[in-house]
Amino acid sequence: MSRNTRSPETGGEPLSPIALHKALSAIWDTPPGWGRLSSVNHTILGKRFMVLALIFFTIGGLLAMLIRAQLATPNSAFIGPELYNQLFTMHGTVMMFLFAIPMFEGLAIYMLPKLLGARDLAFPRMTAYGFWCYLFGGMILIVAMVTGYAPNAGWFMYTPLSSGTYTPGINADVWLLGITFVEISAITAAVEIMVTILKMRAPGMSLTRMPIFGWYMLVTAGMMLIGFPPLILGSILLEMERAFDLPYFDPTRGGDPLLWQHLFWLFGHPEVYIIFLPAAGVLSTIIPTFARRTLVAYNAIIVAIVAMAFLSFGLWVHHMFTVGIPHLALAFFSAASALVAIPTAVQIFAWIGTLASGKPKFDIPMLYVVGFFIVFVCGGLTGVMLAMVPFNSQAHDSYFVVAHLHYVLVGGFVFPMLAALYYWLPHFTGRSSIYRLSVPAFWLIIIGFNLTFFLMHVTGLMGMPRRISTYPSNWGWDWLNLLSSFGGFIMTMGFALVLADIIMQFRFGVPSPRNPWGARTLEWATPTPPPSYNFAALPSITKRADDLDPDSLGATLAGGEGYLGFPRANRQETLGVDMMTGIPDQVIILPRSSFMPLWTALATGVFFLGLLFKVYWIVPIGAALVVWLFLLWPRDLGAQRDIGPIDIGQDTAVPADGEVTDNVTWWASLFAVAVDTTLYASLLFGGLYLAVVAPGWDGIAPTVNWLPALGIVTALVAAVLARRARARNAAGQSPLAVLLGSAGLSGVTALLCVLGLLLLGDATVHANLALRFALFLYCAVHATVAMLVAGHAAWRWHGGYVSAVRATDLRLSVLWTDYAGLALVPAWALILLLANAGGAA
Amino acid sequence: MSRTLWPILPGFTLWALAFVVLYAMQYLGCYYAWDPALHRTLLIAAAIVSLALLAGCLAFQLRALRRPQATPTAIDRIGVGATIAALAATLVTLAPVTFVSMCL
Repeated sequence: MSRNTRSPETGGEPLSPIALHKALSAIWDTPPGWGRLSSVNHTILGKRFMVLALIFFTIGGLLAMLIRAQLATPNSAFIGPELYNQLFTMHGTVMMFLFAIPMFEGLAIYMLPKLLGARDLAFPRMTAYGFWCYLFGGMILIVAMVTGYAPNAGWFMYTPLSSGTYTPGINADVWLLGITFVEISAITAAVEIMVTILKMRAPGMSLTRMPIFGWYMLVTAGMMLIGFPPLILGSILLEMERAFDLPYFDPTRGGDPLLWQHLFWLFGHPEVYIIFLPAAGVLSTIIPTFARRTLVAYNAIIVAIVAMAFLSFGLWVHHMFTVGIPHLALAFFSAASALVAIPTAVQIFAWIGTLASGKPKFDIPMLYVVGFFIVFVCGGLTGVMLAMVPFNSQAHDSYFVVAHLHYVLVGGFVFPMLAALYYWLPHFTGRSSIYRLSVPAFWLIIIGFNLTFFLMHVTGLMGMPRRISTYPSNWGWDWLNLLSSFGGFIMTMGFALVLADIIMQFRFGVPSPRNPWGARTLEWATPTPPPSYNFAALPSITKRADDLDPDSLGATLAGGEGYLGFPRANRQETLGVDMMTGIPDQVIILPRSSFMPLWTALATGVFFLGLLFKVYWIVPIGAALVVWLFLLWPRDLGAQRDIGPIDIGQDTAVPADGEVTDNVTWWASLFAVAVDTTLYASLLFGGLYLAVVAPGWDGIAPTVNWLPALGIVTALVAAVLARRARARNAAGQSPLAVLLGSAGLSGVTALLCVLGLLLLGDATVHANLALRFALFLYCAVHATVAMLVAGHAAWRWHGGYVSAVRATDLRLSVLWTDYAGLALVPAWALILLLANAGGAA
Repeated sequence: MSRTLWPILPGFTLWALAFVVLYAMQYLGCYYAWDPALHRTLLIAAAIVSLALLAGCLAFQLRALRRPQATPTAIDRIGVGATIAALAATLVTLAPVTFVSMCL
C-alpha cells in the first residue's frame, strides 16, 4: 500500500504518524466532562453496554442467591411467596433481557468495526440512543424491584396470570413497558449491525473473506429483525388489554391466552439461538488463535449458522407441548427441535477439528472454552431429550427444565463470554491479566455450576416443579436442594473473583503487547487500548481476514498507509463498500458527538412512563417530542451541493454516501421495513388465530362501515404522488408541491383510519372488535409516518439537501408511502374476514 | 458467478414455507373436520410438492454451478450446501404426515 498521509488541511504535506494520530483524535474524540454524555463513539458505547450488562448480571446473580437461600431448606420462611415470585421473575428477566442480549450487543458494537476494518458503526447516534433506551428501560425494572413493584408473573408473563384480573397493579406493566423500552436498543443494534457488516468492511474484504464472527453477527442480527417483533407486538397487545380492557387474551370475550404463548415463544425460542450464535462466533474467533491455525470448515459453518437460524423459528411449540396440541403438530415441532442439534454439532466438530489439526496452546480464555464444551454439550443432550414429546410431557415445568436451560445458556453464553472477556481484556485495557485469580475463579465457577445445576436434573426427575417458593421435607428433595444452594454460592465466589480479576487488571496489570495471543484478525492491528478512530488508515484486504498479520499491518496503518489515511474538513470519514466484493463505492460521513440521542431517549422515557403510570395526557406529548427530535437528527447531515467523487487514497476516488443509491440509510430503512412487516405479520397471524381457534366466536359480528375504506384510495394516490415527486426531482424539476400533496393525502389516510377506530364503538366487548381496533391503529400510525417522511423530504429539498443525485429522502418517502398503502390491503381483508367470523353479537 | 446473498436463502425459505403451510393445513383440516383420508392425502401431497420444489431448487443451483463458463463463488457453494441441508430438514420435519394421528 502506498503512503497517503497527505492532509488537505496542511496543503498536501505528509503527516507523521503522531501528527496524524493527533489530527484524527481531534476529529473523532468524545469531549471531556459532561460532553461524555454526548458520545456516539462505538468503542465507548460498546464498553458502556458491556459494563452495564455486567452490572445487571451482578443484580441477576444476587437475585439467584436469594432464590437459592430460600430453597436451601424445606419449609423455609426466609422469603414469602409474593416476594419469591418477584425474585424469580426478575432473575429471568434481568438475565435474558438486561444481561445476555445487551452483553453480546455491546461486544458486537465494540468489536465489529475493528474486525471489519471500519472506523465506526453505520449509525453512531442510533448506537447512543439504543444505549440510553437500554439504561432507562433497565432502570424502570430495577427501581420497580427496589420499591416492591417488580413483575411477578414469570419472565415469560403467561396470560391469564399476567392479565389485569389476576395481576392488578403495575407489576406486569413494568415488565411489558420496561422490556419494550429496552428492546428498542435491540432493534436499533440489529439494524446497524446488519448494515455495518454488509456495507462497511475494509476495501477488498468480500463477504467470504470476512472473519467468521461477522457471519455469526450478520445471521444473529437478521434473526433479531424477525424474532423480536412478535414479542413487541405481544407486549403491546397485552398492555392494551391491561390498560384499556381490549380482550386479546381473555377467553370469555373471544381472546385466547395461548395467543400470548405463541407470540412469546415465536420470539423466545429463536432468542436462545440469538444468544448462542454470537457466543459461538466468539469461540470461532478464539479457538483458531489458540490452535494456531485458521478455522476448519469455514463454509460448512456458514451453512450451519444459516440452518440454525431458520430451524430455530420452527421450534417454538416445544415450549407448549402440554397445552393440548394434536400429535401431528407435536411431531413437526419435535422433529425440528431435534434437527437443530445437527448444525450445532457441525460447529462443535469444526472447533474440535481446528484444535486437533493445529498446535494448541493453553491460556486462560481456553479454560473457559473447555468449560463451554463440557457444559454446553450436556445442555444440548438434555435439549434433545426435551425435544421428544413423551419425555417432555413428563419433565415439563420441573427442575429438569431449569437444569437444561441453565446448561444451555450458561454453557452456551456465559462461558464463551468469560473466554471473550479474558481474550479481549488486553484490547480494552492495554494491560495483561493477573493469573493468580483467573485460574481459581474458573475452577470455582465450573465446580459450583455443576454442583448447582447437575443435581437439578435429579431434583426435577424426582418431581420438583419450577417456581415453587418452598417444599415439604418428606419428598426426598432436601439434600439435593441444599447441595444446589451450596454450589450456587461456590459459583458466586468464582464470579466475584472474576470481577476482582478485571479490576486488578485495569488497576495493576502490566502493559500488554499489542497482540498478546498472536491472533490473526484485524482488531489487533489497532493500538491497545484503541483510539477513537480505530485505524489511522483503512487496510486493503487481499485474503481471508482471519489470517492476516496484524502486527505488521498495525504499524503500516498507523503511518497512514492505506485508504483515508488523512484527516479532511474536520469530518468523520469512513468507507462504504460493495456488499459482496468489498470494492469501495462511497465515503460515509458520520455524525459527530451529540446530545440528541440522550434527549430523544429521555423523551421516549416520558412516553413510556406516561403509559406506566397511566398519565395518558403526557403520552402524546412524549410521542410528539420523540418524533420532533428524530426529525431534527439529520439537520446537520448531508451536503447542499453535489460534490462528485472524492479522493480516498490509493489513487481512488468515490462519491460521498449521500450521492449514491446503495447507501447505508437506504439499507437501514429496508431492514426497518422488514422489522415492521414482521410485526404486522404477527398481528395478522394473531387475528387469524383468534378467529379460528379462540372460543366464544358464535353469533353475528358487527358489520363493516365502509367510509374509512376511502383510505385505500387516498393512500394509493399518495403513493403515486410520492413517485411523481421522485421522478420530477430526478428530472431536475421541483418536487415540492407534489411531495406536499403526498404528505397531505397520507394525513387524510391517517384520519380515515382514526375514523375507522371511532366508528367501531366499544371495542372492549369482544376480541373481534379489538382486533379491528389494532388494525386501524397500525394503519393510522403508518399513514402518519408516511406523512412525516414526505413532509421531512420536502423540508430537506427546500433546504437544498436534495438534488437529482442526492435523492435518498425522496426514495424513503416512496418506500414509506408504499408501505402505508400496502398495509391497508391485508388490514381490510382481515376486517372483512372478522366481519364474517362471528363473535361480539 | 453470484453477486448477491440470495443463493444462501431459497432452500430454508422453502422449508419455512412448507412448515407453515403444512401446520396450517393440519390445523384447518381438524377445525373443519375434513374426511381423515382426504386430510392425510392432502398433507402428503403438500409434503411431496414441498420436497419436489426443494429438489428442483437444488438441481437448478447445481446446474448453475456446473455450467461450463461459470465461475462459482464461495457463496454459490455455500448456497448449495444450505439447500441440501434444507432438503434433508424438510424430509425429516414433514415425514410424520405419513403416519402420525392428525387431530385430537
